[in-house]
Amino acid sequence: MSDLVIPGNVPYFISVALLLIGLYAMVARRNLIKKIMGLNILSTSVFLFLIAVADKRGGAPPITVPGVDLYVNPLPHTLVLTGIVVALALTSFALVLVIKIYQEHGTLDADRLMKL
Amino acid sequence: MSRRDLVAVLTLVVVGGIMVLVVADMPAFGSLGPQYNVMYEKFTGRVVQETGAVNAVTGIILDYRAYDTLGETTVLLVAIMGTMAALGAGAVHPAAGAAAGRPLDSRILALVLRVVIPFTQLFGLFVIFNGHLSPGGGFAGGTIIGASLILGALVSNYRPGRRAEVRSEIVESASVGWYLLVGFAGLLAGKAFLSNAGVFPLGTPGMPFSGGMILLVSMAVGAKVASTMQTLFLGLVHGGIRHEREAER
Repeated sequence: MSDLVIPGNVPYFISVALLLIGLYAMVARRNLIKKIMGLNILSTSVFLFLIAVADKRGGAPPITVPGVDLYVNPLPHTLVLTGIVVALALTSFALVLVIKIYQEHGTLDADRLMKL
Repeated sequence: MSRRDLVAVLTLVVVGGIMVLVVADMPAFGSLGPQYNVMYEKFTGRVVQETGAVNAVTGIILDYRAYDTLGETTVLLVAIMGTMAALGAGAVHPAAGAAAGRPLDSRILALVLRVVIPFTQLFGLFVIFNGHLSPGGGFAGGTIIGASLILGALVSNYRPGRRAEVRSEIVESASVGWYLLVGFAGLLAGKAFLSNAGVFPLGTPGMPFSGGMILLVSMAVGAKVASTMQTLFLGLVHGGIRHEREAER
């Protein structure tokens, strides 16, 4: 708990803040498109968190160069790639469903859709 | 305050509280101690030896985790299949072209992009073919090329036709097939599926033609990602246009 004030953890807190912004958009917004935007902000926060976790102070990018010993951890970077692919697939399919919902009902308002 | 806002605030307080507690207890950002992030030592050095790729990230995703990357391309394929199935591909109204070109029908934009797009695509190819040497790889390069294709579709008095869509769908399926073929080369050589070292010549690390199958797989992933972006864009545009036309009627 004592690390709370150390500015060294700032990237983690930023990613938590982004996650909360995305979550708020997903829960509180009524427009379905804005919910999808919130989903994207949320997944971006996860990517930022993974990249931040991989960091080592003063570490070089994980591209092997003779004479450099300290690299950042390459494994979270590869996991972020997987996450981006999943986020893309999710976003595209969600947008298609939104198009279909709008074609059927003529509204993107979650409250009005619930009453149908 | 509506019920929805109350639920939102409660969710944020609970989730945010848990997250802040966890994050506050984590080791400081960029900690160097021997107990943090030890995995990197296992990868650097060994990646170059075992995969021939100087870029450790590419070495991991396209060699150690090549099977996982095959799964990722399958995820993209399934996303396209779901999108197309939900949109009802093929039922695009033939007269929908008039509505499409209008919003971005700008001569200046078209002229500028005609100059910019070739360079964008060249850069995308560079990123794909240098994935094992410098930051980038199939995913990043494919995204760049896909973005240029979308830009082109936006400004070129774009008429939704089946041809562009069918073409990008063929590229998409063919790239997954190419990926599988590269994988089966490992089986033919008596090794595991998608194995690199011992099947393909690894070459000298740091040279353009090194890393064995990484270059081949990177090409497949690049083509796959670029065509996926184009197909998704065209599919979404078609779905929207169809709706517009139906509303006009």
